[in-house]
Amino acid sequence: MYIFWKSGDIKNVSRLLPASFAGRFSGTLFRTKRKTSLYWRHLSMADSMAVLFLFISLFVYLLSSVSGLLLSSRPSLAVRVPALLSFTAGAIGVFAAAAGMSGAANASLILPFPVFPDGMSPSSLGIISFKIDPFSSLLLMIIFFVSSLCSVYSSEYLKEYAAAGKVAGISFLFPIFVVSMAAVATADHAVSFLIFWEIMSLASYFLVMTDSEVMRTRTAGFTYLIMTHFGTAFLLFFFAIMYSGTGSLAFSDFAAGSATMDAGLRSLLFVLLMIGFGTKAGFVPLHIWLPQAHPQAPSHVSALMSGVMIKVALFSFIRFVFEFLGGAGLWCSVTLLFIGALTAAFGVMYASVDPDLKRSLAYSTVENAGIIAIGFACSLLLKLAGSQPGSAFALAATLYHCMAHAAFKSLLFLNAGAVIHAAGTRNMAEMGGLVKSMPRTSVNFLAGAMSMSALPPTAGFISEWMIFQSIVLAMGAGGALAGFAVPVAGAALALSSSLASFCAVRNMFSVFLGRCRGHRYADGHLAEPGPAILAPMWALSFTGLLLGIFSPFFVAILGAPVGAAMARGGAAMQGFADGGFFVTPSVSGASAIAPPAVFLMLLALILGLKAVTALAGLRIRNYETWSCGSDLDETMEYTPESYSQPLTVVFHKIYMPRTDISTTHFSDRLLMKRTEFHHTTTPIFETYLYKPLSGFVIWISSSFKRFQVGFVHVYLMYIFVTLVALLFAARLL
Amino acid sequence: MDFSKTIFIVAQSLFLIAIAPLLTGIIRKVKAAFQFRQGPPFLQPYYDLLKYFRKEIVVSDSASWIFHAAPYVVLAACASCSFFTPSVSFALAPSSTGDVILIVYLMALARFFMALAAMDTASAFGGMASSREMMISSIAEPAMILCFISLASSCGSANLAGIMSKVAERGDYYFAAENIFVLFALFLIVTAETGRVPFDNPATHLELTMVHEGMILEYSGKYLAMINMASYIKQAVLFAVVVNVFFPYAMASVATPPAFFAAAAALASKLIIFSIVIGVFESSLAKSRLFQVPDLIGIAFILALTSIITSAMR
Repeated sequence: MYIFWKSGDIKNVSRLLPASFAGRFSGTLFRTKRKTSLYWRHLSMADSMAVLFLFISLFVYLLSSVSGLLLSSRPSLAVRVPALLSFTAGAIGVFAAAAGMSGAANASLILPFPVFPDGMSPSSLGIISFKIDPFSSLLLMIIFFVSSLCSVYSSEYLKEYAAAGKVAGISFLFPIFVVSMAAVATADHAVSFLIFWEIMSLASYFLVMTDSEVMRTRTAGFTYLIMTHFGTAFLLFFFAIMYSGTGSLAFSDFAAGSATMDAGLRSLLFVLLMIGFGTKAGFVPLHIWLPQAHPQAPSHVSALMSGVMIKVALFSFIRFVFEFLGGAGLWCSVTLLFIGALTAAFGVMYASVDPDLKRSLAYSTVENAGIIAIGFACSLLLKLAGSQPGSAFALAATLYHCMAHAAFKSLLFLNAGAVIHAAGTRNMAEMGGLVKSMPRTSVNFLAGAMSMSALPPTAGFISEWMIFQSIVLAMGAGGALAGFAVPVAGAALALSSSLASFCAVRNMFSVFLGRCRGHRYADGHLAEPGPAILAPMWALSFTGLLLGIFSPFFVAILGAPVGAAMARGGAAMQGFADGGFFVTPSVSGASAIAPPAVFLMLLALILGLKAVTALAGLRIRNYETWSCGSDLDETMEYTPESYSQPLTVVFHKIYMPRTDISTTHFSDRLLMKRTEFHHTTTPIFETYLYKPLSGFVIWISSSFKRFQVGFVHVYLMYIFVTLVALLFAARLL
Repeated sequence: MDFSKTIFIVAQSLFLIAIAPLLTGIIRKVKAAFQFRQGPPFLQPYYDLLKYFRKEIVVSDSASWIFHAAPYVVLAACASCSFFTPSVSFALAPSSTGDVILIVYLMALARFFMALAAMDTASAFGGMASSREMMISSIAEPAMILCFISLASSCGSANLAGIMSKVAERGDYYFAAENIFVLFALFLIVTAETGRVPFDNPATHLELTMVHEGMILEYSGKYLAMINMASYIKQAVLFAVVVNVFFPYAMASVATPPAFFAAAAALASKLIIFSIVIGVFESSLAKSRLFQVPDLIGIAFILALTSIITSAMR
């Protein structure tokens, strides 16, 4: 392993490595030539630390993966050792990312070995070509932070998979998944990007298929596989067009090449990127795999997929648009805005009616992907209008929402895993009353639910506030189309945030509050989960709270990543909010907010009220709930379906709810033996888009069956006819 | 921030909090007058709060820590809203610490905890009320934010103080159709958010008609006092916002005691007139069916959207 420095630094290198090693490879330093001098960049201290730590982290992840395989015969070690190694690797990766964010703009790293006979190496083929800069370091920070916490969680969570013998597979694939995401984040060449993108998709596919004996898992995995390759096909198309336009597949050559393309081609490229990355991120109507696949995976993998993999897709989208296309045209940005608005609205609407806890959280991920798309579209519109500080602020809002969502969605999924293990069911209509036996888990769920509903003082509120300000700025960004589209997107954003709070209240009370809605809890696991499960949840709750309270500081830190992203688009970073006490876009007439002040005010008021009531004396008496004189029964409570019933009536054009009541009578037809009540909503996209499409594909395939007669003579005749036709065609041409 | 300005802002929010129960008393008196009754005294809400404060609290067996925590969070959130509202003055408003989006989301925080606490007692009343309240607010909030976005775009500034100063400057702001639309839309939304007829009947005790009252059904004693105070403050804040955006005159511009008292008196008279208008409006309508409420809010939404499109076309 070798990192290229300028030739003067060879002494430092040889101090790091054994002498023979350095001696053997120093020859290559002077012998191999590079096409451009881009790779001979003098790395600063922070960058070299970032690169070194990143390598160590990836190496330890690979160790963890191998150990997961090797230790499969000893169950207790098989769960603990890979988790510990992954956690260490994640912690080192966090340091690497922090160093990378404070480093300079570019730190490339090339792996020159092995050298093939004709002088080519994997790096010149582009297989292993990476670049670390503040923007990708932000993504690396998200990846490694969430992964390390998920590893800690898995050290106790995977015990329930040990009996089924699935621990080896999960422990093998989880680090590979994380490594592939980190590689996609830092890829600098189309080939390495695609290789690691595919490894990421496949690793997550196999993780989703953990419980493959369940039919629903197999369907989910199948759908996921198809949709992700559908998206990757569009990315391939994108890279193919860029190659034909610029003659090279290295990202550093794309930027220059695309400037010479005309606007129509660049719009086509933007649409290709939007479909390609949108499939992975969950944009409507390409989102249908997400609510199927994310719930079926083990909870810590769901947390990683929802919280981090979506971000990898979105960060890559942002980076490709700014770096290769230099922004987007008016119609492209407005299209992205509309798709973001639709995604946010539909995602949260389906989240609010789903009785499955993990599927509801997955639909909420779709919603947040839509919100991120809205923020990004505002940034593009502001860039078009020439407002550089506004565009930087909108991009910072988008990235902040990425961070906040990663924190609270992974928290909610980890929580869901603990709760589902305790209750023995994934159906929220059978849960309830868990707050009495799992109070700490309920506090963490509340923190995640508050951040999901964008309530002050959490991080979700700050990012939502920033995106609202971006919308107000983008409205004035000129053009009648933007003037109409942006407020509609703002209304959709407000609708999605209020419905998200509906969904959060519904999920929280179904799981924790009231009394148990199923008549008993299966398996009797009703206890607070252990520290290995609680500690990551506390860490994520505090992260969400800190990101909310100290947001001026964190928004200022975002200055470097935003600048790196926009600088690649050819614009200099200027006028970014400089932290201090306030979060504000540095545009005249804009509003500001002081999150620490808001939090302190709330805290002071709550403590003051507590003091007042304590002084006045709080006399509390316990008694049973009023139930009109009869005994309180679990069936009197609201279930999640009844809670969302008014919503299905109000939005019945979208939900198309159906009620089926079937009654079986006794033979005398007077007394009812059994009544069944089914209340379902119609999933629009599956019913009206995908079913006809798949029906069409199946119809075409079955029409081709007519050619498959079964006689060899007929097949021979087909070959003969084709040959003759080809010969004629060759002669004619 | 200099000292006198801080004192001024704190005094302004304390004044709004102090006058909040009086507005409810005035509304009740106006409704009683329409029904040829004498009605309760103007200061009855204050007497009720004191009474609740002195009584004991009865807590359900099924309740958890959320039931106990909710009244504090709700009252703290609503009281913080009053801090960010430019009620007595817009020139001296704390516009750099918070804006209207913060106010809307602080109210959402209060509503979130109320809805959770209502479900905590495992009663059907709480569930019904909580479900309806969240459904109504989930459509009322986008309409409200759309109104404020429309105001922001036509006034060129996103915070309330900027909007009010722009309206005060122009003098003939409300002679344009699109601004009247926003005003009507905002009036409807404020009626919805404060739980007034036709959206919710604050005087009812029938479970089928309760929205806000149902959520607080299980509360008693000091907790009930805090929650009622919070709903009075929320109502006062929303009234103050509408009144000052429509009529931002006679407001203080310097932080001196005489200016404060004069502007506070002006605010009190504006709020009293608005409360009388709300009382008249409530008495002339019946409470609508639950599923007619989205249609009413849809009217507000369309009005706000029309206003935005009209100003975008201009």
